[in-house]
Amino acid sequence: MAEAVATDLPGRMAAIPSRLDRRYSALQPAVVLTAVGEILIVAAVMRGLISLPVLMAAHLGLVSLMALLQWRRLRSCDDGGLALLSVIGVLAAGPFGAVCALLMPLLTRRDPVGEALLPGWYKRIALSSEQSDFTRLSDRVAIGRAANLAAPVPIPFVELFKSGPVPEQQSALGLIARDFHPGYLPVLKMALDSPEPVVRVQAAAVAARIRGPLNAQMAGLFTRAADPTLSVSDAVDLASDLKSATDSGLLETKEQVTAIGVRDGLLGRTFARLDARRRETSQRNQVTPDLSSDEADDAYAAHLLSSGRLDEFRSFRHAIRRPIHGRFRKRIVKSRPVASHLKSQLVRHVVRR
Amino acid sequence: MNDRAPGIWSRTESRPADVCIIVEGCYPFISGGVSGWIDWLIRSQSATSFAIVSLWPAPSGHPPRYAMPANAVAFQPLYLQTFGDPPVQSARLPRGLAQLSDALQTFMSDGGTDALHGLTLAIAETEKDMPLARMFNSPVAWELVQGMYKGRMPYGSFLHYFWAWRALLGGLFATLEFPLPQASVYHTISTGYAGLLAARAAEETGRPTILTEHGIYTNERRIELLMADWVADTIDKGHTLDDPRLDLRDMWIKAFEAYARTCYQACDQVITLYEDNQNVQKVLGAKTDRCRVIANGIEVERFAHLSVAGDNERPTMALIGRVVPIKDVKAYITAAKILRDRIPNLRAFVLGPLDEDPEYTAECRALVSDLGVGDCVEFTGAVNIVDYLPRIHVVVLTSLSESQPLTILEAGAAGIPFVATNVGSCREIIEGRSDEQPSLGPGGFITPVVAPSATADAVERLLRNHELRRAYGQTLRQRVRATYTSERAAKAYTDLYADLRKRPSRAVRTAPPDLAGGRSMWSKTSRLPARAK
Repeated sequence: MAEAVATDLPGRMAAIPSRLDRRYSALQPAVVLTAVGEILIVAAVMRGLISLPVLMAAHLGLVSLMALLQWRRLRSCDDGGLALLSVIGVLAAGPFGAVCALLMPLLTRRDPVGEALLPGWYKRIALSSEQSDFTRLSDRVAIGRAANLAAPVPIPFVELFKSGPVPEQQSALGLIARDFHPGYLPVLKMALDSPEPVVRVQAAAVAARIRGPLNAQMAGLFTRAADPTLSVSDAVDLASDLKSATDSGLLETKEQVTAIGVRDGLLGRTFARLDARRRETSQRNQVTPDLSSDEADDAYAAHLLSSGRLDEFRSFRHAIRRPIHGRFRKRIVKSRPVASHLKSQLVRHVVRR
Repeated sequence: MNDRAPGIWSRTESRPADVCIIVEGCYPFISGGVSGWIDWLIRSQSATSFAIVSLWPAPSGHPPRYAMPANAVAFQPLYLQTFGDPPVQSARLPRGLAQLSDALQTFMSDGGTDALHGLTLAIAETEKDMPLARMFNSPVAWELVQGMYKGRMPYGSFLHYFWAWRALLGGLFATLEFPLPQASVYHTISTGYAGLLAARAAEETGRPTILTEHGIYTNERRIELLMADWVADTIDKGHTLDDPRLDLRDMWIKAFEAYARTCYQACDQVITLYEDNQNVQKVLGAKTDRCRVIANGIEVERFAHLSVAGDNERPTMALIGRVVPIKDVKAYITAAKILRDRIPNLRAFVLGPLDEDPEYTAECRALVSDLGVGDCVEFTGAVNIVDYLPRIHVVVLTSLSESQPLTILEAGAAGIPFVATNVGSCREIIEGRSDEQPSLGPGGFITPVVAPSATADAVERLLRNHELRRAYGQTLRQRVRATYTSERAAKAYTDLYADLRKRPSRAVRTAPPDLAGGRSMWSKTSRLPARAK
């Protein structure tokens, strides 16, 4: 119910009562008084009871009285436009203007607010989580709390920790601490080795803080690694996160041993699946469409190399086509990342022994 | 008198103290660390009288951990979060409220002694109509907070802003209203509210003021605030790190930076324990010509007679410290595992209290069991390290954060080389200061944090190479004897206090005359006490 009311609100926001409405309704006695006065003056002129100068004087006196009353009531009002129109109307058209002034609030009168509407409105102005994502987003944009889409693209954290300003490095470490993900671990490692003492100190504090959550998150990563429907690029990303975690020095020994095993198993299964698909389609010298990231290419190339399948490695290295702007562009696997993958495998092998 | 309970007390009602020492969140209610240093400082300056102002959020009821030294002549707590009179329901807006709002915004954003002076004048103007303590819990404060909210972060959450405003300004007003003790020299042990009080003292009395920072208070608060979950993020900045929109986290950080800037500008000397910290202080506004290093020291004679572990004794390393996460004892245990695989008869002591974080201690013991190094790693609990040092070949520190760890000095005084992570002043102690004359060379190895294999490699080098180990131990001993004795540190402060006490008072800026002058030890008015003689 609240959600329905909330989504309907933009069109019915006028139904929300305001101080302005109450102020205008308070004007009515003054306008009624003026209207009656004006009618009496006109009636007196028509019966010849008063002369024209007296009529003018009485009329101006009434208008002044009305302006004074309205001024007193409206001096703290945000918008005196309606009151001003009333005064001008009476001044210009006498009793007719007064009648128009009486009718004006009726024309702008708003519907009473339904009781069901207010709770939704209160929730909305409190940016309640019960509102729909769309409503909340539009409100955050309107208030100025939404992400600034016009801001320049943030520089990658790796670049930031190589040469960025120290305060921004500290802010980035704050983000890592508050919203930790294993993918941040290589950056944290860089921060721990920073030449800036304040960055090192903060990185150490972050490391101490995330140790518990990291070990707790490993179970989730292990479960995800067992998902047989993972795409190649997701599997390689996940393997990369597992590697970052094992390299961080922050894992408990049990989690570290398990993570190495899970990562090996994940990559083994993924590459076996790729091999089988390549065999099935007899597309030995073509890119497998499932590899959609550079990291996946590099990992698979390293896998081919470490398996001694040098011919397949050579052909794979030169056969990758990546869709960019609607066209396929060639990408050659560079030797450095592949060597890095191979080195990590060797290191892992030594550690396990 | 020496064991007096905390509260307002004074031995000499009318005579100013030689030094007013201003501390925040430690002495005399917390033991160890900075509190221990303050106790040492006061006792080491026996010919100097001290008044002590101790800042706390609110009365805690904790008993003092230190007996007051004989030369401590006055003590007063300052509570930051209890400021204000009982609430009043209605009040007329005082004159100068808009100026007060502007002065507060300027001071909270930028800080500095000029901004502090402007704020003091604005408060004085407002107080002609209403005392600050009454105003803080009245509708006037509501007007003030609304105005500042509209000026500073109208897009943010007002609710969160309101409570942040109350917390920040409550502390600020309490500090600005506190009756300053009269003293010849004001000495604060941190920036923050303590530093702000010291800056106020410098501005209002014209007396010399000094700051000694062990850690960098502003940076510590910045780290806490950047990681804190209790500070709500009301603006979505995504991963944009230079978004100019002010949020609550920024507001808190800016306030502490403003306090620090004010303190650095006001202090005649900005002292720290090691050079790396100086760089941070300069970034935060401390002037180079006022910065100085006075390192902490130890009583080296206590360790001078100790023999060094022989080459044929069981290879032994030790971590000396509390078993708490910040010491990263798990990295030490992992290093012990790596090293035990290379040196089978290795012994690895953990010398320090086990009761501070029982959960972490249990985790460490479990790790020892998991790694199968129960025959190698030995937790001794709190011990007299003098009994153990003659059996230790290398002392290790795997801490994530330190200031100036005394364990390096103690090991060095005993001629034992050290392997430490690159935190605090470890590098400076082990490798020597940049201005060391003559340069003595290294007394051990520095390793990255959270890098047990690097720690193991460094310890292995020292355990296998007896010549290197002896040479490094000797170097460290020389350096500690030359630079890190407690006598040397005490004399540095004796000379500094003597020099500053002789200095004439600076001219103080003009201030409203109706606020001037208290005559007692604790001036009776809120600000501008009588000039110290």
